[in-house]
Amino acid sequence: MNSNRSKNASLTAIFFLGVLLLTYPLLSLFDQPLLVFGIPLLYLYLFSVWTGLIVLVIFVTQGILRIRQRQPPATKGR
Amino acid sequence: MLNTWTIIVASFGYVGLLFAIAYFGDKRADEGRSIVSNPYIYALSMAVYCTAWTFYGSVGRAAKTGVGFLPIYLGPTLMATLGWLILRKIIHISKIHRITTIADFVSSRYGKSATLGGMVTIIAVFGIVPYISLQLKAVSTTFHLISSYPDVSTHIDYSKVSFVEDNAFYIAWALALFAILFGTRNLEATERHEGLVAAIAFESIVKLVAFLAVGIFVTFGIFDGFGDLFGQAEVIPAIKELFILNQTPETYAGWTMYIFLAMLAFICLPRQFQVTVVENVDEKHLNKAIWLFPLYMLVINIFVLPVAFGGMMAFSGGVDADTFVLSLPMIHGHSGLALFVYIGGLSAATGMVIVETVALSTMLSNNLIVPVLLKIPSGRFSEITDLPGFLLTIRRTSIIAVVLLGYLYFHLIGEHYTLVSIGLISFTAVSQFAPAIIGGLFWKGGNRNGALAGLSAGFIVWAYTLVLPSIAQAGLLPWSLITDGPFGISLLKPFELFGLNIGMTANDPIANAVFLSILANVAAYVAVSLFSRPSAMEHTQAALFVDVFRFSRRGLDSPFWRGTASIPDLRALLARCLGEERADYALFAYAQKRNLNWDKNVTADAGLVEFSEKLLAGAIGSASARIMVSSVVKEEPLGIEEVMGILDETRQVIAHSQELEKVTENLKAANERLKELDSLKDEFISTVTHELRTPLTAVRSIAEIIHDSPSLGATRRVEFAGIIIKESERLTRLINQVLDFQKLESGRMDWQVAKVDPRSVIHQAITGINQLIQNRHIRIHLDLPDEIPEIEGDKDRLVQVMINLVANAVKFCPSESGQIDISIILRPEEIQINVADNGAGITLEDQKIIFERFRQVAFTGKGRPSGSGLGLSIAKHIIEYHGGKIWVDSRLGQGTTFSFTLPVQRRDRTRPAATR
Repeated sequence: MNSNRSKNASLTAIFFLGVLLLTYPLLSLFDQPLLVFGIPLLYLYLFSVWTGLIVLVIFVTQGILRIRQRQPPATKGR
Repeated sequence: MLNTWTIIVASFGYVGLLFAIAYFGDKRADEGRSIVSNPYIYALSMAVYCTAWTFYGSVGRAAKTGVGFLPIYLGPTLMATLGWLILRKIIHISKIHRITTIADFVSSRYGKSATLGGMVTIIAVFGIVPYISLQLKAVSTTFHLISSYPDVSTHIDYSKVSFVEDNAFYIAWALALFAILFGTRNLEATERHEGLVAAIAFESIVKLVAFLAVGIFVTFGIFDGFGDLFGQAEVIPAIKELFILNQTPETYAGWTMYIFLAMLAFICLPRQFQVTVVENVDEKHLNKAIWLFPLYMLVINIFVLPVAFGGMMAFSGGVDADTFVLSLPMIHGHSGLALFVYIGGLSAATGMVIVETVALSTMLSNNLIVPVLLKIPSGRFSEITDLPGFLLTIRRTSIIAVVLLGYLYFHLIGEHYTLVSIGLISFTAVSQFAPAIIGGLFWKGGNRNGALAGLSAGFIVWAYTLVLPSIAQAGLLPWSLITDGPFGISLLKPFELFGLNIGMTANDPIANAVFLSILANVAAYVAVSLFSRPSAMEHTQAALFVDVFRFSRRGLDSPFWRGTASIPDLRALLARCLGEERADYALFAYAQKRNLNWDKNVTADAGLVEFSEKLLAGAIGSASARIMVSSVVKEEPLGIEEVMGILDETRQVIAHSQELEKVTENLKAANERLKELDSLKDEFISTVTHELRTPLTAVRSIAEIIHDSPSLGATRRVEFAGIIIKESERLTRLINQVLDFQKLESGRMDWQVAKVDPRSVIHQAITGINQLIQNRHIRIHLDLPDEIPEIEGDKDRLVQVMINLVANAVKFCPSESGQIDISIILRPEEIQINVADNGAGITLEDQKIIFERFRQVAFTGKGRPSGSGLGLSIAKHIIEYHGGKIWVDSRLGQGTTFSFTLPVQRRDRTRPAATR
């Protein structure tokens, strides 16, 4: 249960991070008619954020990254 | 190179392959070797989200709005991160309550309301039929396009195309057949359809590979990588515009609205509910699915913008952007790739149609048709002999009806719209379920009336802002209604209701409609919920849904049911609805699990009734199951107070755990105290041994002197012997004190209770230490009344207390000028004895601890006091045994008064708690 709660907290945090990065006003900073590495900036930005979010979710669900990890090392994972 | 027959054979060959995969999947499931029970297949089946709209429409939308196609995939990505919170809860609830559709979920949550379930079904049908038609339209359009290979002119006048010539018509029939074969194998819709899921997962792979193939072909075949493609695109102003959003507030608001819309649609779409919830094998699969599914969407979208820009540069406006995916390989003469892409599009369309029709048909039969039949009073429903067969027929007929409705819709209305806008209209319709679902998951206050009001409000706004214009567009209503508003009121123009105009492009009706309909929906849901009274059943279901994890942990199946039913009645009911065999099997399994013996018992308990109702709910929907079960059950419906009472019990469990925490804290404090006592005891032992050693040393040294000096005079000898005696007495006293204390502590003291005159106690004590008093020249003043009632007590112990107090007083009185006043005050119930001295006094802090064990007070100017530190503690024990109190009054420099009371008539002979 504890691990669920911590996982939920981490994932909810990722959700809000995603909302923040994918909407106005942060979005408008990258809304420029430029090519970066030959790719439109906005397109590059959106796919980077998207990839980042997926990587974070992988970290959390695979137990690599957890808010307040409190499991004592001796006990077996539940 | 590509003749029509090749295409037809490929199309039906592909559909045939799906049949084979599904057959294989079902066969493996029957053998118990599931091929779908892993998170990868689960995530792939979720990708049924990506339909023909994704496959063809995203490029079309990208050609108009640039990155404007992305919110539809970013929304579900965000929602998936909340999957562990929201989806897992929905799955958990649905498994417990055997919920099979989104309509049943809403109906069950709000008191198993048949009305609500029916309403959700109707909205879903209105919303989804156009969406299905969109898929068929895509199949038809691309078929005609690829048939004319290598010509890419796309305009098709559907009014001139008859059913017979349109292969989408046959595909539709094939899909209906597929859905019937693999989607309605069993009556219980809770049974997973493994073959169907396997086929859907396969389709997801096909469409992904096909789209990547065309993306790679365009980016690296036609152009020389991303840099080259975007570099060439940048030169064309019309394309460069698409590198950015419009940079207006309306655009950003529209963008956000689309993300929001897709988030809601992801959990509200009937087909998503089917694959995510009903077909879920194990909740743990979500763990991987919540990132695998977003990853799938990311990959399938990488090449959308390149294909869109590539198409725009290749065709410069002559070709519908929705078909770029197919027409680009065509104009470059890659017939094989074109055919593969066509199959990819077919897979995207068929996957959606299959799952959606299965989901809709379950809804139609369980939440609309059966409840309506049950309500017909003539009882025709009860006359049907083969009920399971009848129910399956309803479901199969619904599948055919839904598919054909979809086909008709696109022939009659659908051709006016692009792929994406039909899809978005559907999304907006199903999103209306979101407030009732999400609210129902986390807010117990949401009730049936609120949900009804919310759904109605949202549906009305949706119909007004999106459906009305499409009817007008089809020529059934005057177009001025849209351009000028009804009766010329411009504030009511459907596309700009109340003057609001947000959206990704100009004249984008979707974002407005999403905002206004969800706003109306939520407002009505919350407001009506707050101001209307829910029934007991609604309360029950609300608690069971919102606190689902708590209830399932406690293992409560049916905390809210009370009543009696006969087992034969229940069995007959189950047998009628599910068939004899299944009913007997289910009851047998139930009895086995709980070690029940049907022969002994004829009355069903609450658990069995609940079990039967859930079993039926899986087959005919929760609202109908409720009605059916209540027909054979003599129920005592729970009143609202009782439901609240049961809910209170749950709350009490929480309260208990809080109490436990408190007790734990108390224990911790006690432990601290024990530790402190332990260290005090150590100190005490060192004090006592020190005190024992002093007289012992004196005795020994004097004895040595006597031993070593035979010439000692007789007077000296007597003097030395006197010291030995005195020191031995001191030793004895100390040891006695320790022993007394030990006895008192352990409660093994022998008390010799008799009638005692307090005055004699005082006199005896003074006589006992007279020598000490005389030595220090201290005056004793007695103030004793003439008539004193006798008290009951142990005289020797009381003398001990007196000696202790007087000796203390003597010890701290100045010699010569010292005076001790001993007085007795008479009260009706008790007598009080005071021992006052004119010594140095005790500080307030010391007064507080002076009666505690092992405490010694460092009196000013006297250094470490002699004694064990037990005297006063023993005195306190003795006085308390007698039912009295002992305390001290003192001020520094003004002397000290020790007082104690003894009751005149003792009522309670029991010792105060031995542990103190």
